[in-house]
Amino acid sequence: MNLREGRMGMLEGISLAAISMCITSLFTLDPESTYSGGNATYITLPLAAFIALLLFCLITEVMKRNGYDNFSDMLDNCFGALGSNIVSIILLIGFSFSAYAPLMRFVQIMHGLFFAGVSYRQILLFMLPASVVLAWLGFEALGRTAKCYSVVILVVTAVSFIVSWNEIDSYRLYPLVGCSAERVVTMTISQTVSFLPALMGLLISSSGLNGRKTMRYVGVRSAVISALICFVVQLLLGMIYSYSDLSNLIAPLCRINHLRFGDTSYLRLDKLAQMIWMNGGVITGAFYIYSGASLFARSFKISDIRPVTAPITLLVTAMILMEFDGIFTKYEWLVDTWNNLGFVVFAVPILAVSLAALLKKRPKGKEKSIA
Amino acid sequence: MRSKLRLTFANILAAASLLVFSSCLNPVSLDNYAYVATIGVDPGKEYKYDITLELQGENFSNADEISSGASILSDEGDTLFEVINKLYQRLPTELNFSRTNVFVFNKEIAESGAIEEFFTLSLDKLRIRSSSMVVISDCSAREFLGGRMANNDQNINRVHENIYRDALISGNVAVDSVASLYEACSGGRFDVGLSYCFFDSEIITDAKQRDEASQGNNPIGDSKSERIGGMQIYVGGAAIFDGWKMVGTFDFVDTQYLSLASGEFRTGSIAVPLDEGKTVVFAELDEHKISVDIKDDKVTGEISITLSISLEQDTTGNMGAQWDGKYKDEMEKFFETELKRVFSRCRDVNSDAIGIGKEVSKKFTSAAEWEAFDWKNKYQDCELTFDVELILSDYYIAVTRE
Amino acid sequence: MSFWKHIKDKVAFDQPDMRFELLERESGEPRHLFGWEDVPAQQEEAYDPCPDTLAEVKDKLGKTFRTDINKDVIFKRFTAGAEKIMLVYMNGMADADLISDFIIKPLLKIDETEDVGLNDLREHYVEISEDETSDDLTKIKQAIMDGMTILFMEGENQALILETRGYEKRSVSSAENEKVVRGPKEGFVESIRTNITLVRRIIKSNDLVVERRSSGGDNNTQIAILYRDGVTNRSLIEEVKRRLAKINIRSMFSTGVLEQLIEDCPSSPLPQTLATERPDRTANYIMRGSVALIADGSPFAIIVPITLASLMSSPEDVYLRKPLGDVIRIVRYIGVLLSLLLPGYFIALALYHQGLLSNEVLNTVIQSRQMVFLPIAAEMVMLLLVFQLIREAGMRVPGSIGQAIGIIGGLILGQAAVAANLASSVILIVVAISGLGNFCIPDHSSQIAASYFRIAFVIAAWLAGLLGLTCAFVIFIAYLANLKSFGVPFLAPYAPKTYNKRPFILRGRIGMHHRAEDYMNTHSDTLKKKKDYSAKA
Repeated sequence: MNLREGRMGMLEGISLAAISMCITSLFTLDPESTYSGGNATYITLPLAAFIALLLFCLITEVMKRNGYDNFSDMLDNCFGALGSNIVSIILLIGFSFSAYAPLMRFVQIMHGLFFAGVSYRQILLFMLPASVVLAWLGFEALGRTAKCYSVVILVVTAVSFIVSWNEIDSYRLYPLVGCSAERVVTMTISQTVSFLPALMGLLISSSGLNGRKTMRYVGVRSAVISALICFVVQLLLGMIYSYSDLSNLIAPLCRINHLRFGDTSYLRLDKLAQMIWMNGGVITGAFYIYSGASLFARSFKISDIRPVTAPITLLVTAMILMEFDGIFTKYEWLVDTWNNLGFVVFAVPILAVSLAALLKKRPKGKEKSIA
Repeated sequence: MRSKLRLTFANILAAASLLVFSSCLNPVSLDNYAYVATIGVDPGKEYKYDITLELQGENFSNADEISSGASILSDEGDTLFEVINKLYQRLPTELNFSRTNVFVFNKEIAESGAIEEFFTLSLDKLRIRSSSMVVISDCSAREFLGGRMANNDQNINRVHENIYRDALISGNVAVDSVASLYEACSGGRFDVGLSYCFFDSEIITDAKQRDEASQGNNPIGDSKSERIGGMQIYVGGAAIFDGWKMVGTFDFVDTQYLSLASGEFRTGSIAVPLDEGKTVVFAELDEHKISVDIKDDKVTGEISITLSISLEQDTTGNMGAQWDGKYKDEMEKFFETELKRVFSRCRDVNSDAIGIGKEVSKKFTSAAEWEAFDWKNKYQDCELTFDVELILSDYYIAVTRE
Repeated sequence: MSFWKHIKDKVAFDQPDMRFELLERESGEPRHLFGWEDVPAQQEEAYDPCPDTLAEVKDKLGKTFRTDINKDVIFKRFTAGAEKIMLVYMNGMADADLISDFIIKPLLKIDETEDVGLNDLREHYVEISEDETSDDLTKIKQAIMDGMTILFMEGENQALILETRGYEKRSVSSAENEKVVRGPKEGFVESIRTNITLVRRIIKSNDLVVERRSSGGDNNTQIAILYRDGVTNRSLIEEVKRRLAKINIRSMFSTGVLEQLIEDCPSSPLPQTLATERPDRTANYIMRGSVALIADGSPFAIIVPITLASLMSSPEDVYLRKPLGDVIRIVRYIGVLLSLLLPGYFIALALYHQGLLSNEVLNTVIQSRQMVFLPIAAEMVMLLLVFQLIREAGMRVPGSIGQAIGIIGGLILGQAAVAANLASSVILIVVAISGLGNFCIPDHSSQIAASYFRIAFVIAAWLAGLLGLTCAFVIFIAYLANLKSFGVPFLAPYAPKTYNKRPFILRGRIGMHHRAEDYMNTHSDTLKKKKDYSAKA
């Protein structure tokens, strides 16, 4: 099988997973439902990362106990071929939605802030090839590109906040949390959908990460780093915009430099920052497309992953274009359901596979993996 | 050979299809735009608004007014977009609002609350940054723009920026942006104080001077002004708002106290009348604290201000020696009185320009509770005390001439 | 190949990934995932026994070298003692004086009655320092073509191969394309022997191995493979040899052709080998564990494997002090980024994001473009093309005139273009800065590749502004990330991070530069490695 996995190191894996988690969690929130009752995202997002990490650690422990190196092998052994195929299809749909979310949001940002009077189609035709090329080239290229961009994204985010430092004021955070404990819990659980796909992607591509041990190391560190970044970014955002402003802004991070008065050129470099974040979105989309394709190819024993990435990309493209053409408004409930319950698509298979593996005897002749 | 030709043809077709499907994203070269630096809004005669656009850089021959650095165009309409459509026909190029960073509203427009109409949809559509400054003019917005142009500076945005940078140092001008206006009106925690500007028609412009000189006349004529050339506008205070509506104006002295009360003051010279005469101090804000308390839905609070002052003009001649026993208390009392007076003025017009609501919001644990509290209604009953502490940091005597 | 078969080959997704992976392996064949394609080994010519009569030898060699029409091969017959001797050599390739003074003269002095064998001649009479015997006519033919002199004796089925190479060659001069202020000035020449000697003078180590082989082309150009036995990764050496064995072309003239035949991706604009004229640079890479290839007739050596950092490093970097080296490297990388992205960035701002330009620049550009008829993006492409023309013209014209063309072309053409409203001054400055940045790239092939990518970025910016530019940049980075040079990722040691503390952009302390490279998985590495190295790769 040519899964184009290659091999990559820890830092690359951490960069890839962290970028995916941060971009998904910071840019794909629905502003009205998230902020209208107060801003608690600086609590809910890190907690969501923690819950996703717990699930990840659970399944990696089970993998270690049973000697599996790979999520696909575990699926096959626990559910059989048919069960594995069904789960793969479900996860593939989940990955498609996960890829759709950041790409869609960035298309909206590009359309809203930069290119008036052009269609989503035209914008997508520039963003999507970058995603497709990355997914096509494989896991190794993805990881290394992510590593190259990780520092740039961090620096650009930090500079954006430094430039708008004068606008930061703690009163905007109040009322602190702002919403009830029940709502905090609900939001935390639903926001795990921002973190689970990336961790699942790591599980699927563990052989590209030199084994289960390294994969777990990468997963833990990337989740912790993402949680930290989400906390800091959301806290600072909460101090730049009050919750009432945030509930009206689709991408508040793209507007923080808009607050600083001045006509010097460097204050207008926020557009460059937005493009760098958009590149992060492209990498995220590519990673999810690749992960879905990889799992599908493994389950259905398809010899090469590349002809699987093509239809997934088409599916994601269709979803985005449907949104623009207004077709998706008929299915708005689908998007809302994904935002609220999307975590089920990833969490349930993880729990089910873990449970099945725990109940199932270790297969005969299966030696413990060295890694 | 044939297969190679077919392959080449297929590749060309694929590339051409891609280009056709993609197309460029409507590029427009930078020299095909007219860049709007400032938008001015006055009440119209035939229509609702008379909107003036100041265009930087190129001088358009069909503009209403031209200087070396800018052109002015204006027209009337019921909405901004209607006016823009009319003005497009008068220009050889497309209008570009990405460099707009100042809005000027005539005071009548501000008092009617019509500012809200301009900021709901237009900013995003026109790609105007929310850091754009909002200014209220005592004169018409058109006069303001014309008066600013009289400076004959090519770089209009820098002129405006310099005006306000200087004003910030002196502390007697309120500066606020569209973003603050949005936040004030949507969040309800404070109200904005915007720059209030005037036009001095007595100042003789370079153009007029040239015209008069060419006709052999004295350019000053009967004018009381002794200044020839330069800007005809000046910034002289603040316009305070209640939501989107302007409810009052402060002169530059009261603006200083307003900014002191709100904590936005940085540095500035303040004249303090004493029994012996007027002393001018240069003050720097060291500390600013607001503490509030809510009891039975009534808000009380205290604002503590610490200022480091250095004497710029001392008429007493012995301020340094009697500072602790006499002058310190006297000056502190003076500041507290003035601050209270300014606060009362704000409260009377229901404008929380000081920003007490920001501290009040911290007392609530949930957004629903805060929204239910309805701060602006409670503001009328709010009581505020001021505690000013002055620290004499530099003693320099400038003896006045007698 | 038919059209449909070609398409079918392109869309056949069932082939395993055939790319070479430089994995950690002590020795042996590189691990192949699902089986390599069967690559026929280079066909070695069959053993051809040497006849024992001179007439037969002459007949065979005459047919081989077509002596009826080719008068270059000389057959000199004489008697040494009681024995009949025949010397065969190539006129012009062998040193005639050497043959006369040290072979023929001593042999003619042998007494007529003395009975001598080939070994006696070799040990007692022939005064040539390097010699060997062979009974393989194939080898003998090759030796003749190399400039050796072959001594045949009547009745012996072995011949004596004597080192008498003395063809005309250029003397060692300075490297023309890699000039340094400090550091050695010597450069390679066309003679493979001289080049090997130049390297050996620097690496006086007993583990330096020089393997000679034929290139595989019909012209039998000799290639030398230089590496440190016991240090260089065995898999790498075997892979280099495997790729050399695959070569099957009509003629191989220089390392420029050779590198395209052995690269991972020959259609890539970026080279995956480093061509250098400098022996010190070659020696530096060999010491670190790379393999160097030197071809006879080419004054360039090829270094494999390489990374982007190798292409971006100048030979002078190690000869400067650390702070100076750091600054120069930072400037170089800034120059490269400017070269690649500045024209595209300017076009993006000018066409789509005018708000990012400052007022001053905006007004200057507008005023300078008032009478220019070309659209701004077309103007940029035109000026980039003119820049390339000036650069090519300057390279092709010899001597000082070439330098003058660059200056005159730039100054006069630029001035004239602005005066004639063919170009605006701001765009000219952008192109000039971009061109200067291009020259910061030390490697010549990479400079041309940068020009290629620059045009692509300008087109991307033309189509979609910063969106197109940044998406094109993502694809560019992904392309770099995917590229490998003999199994080594192109972005190493940044991605993947390696244990070598040598930084990617900065020069680093000088001690770091003489340790073996971790990403080449060399053997006796002086770097300490952690125990669980495999997990943290």
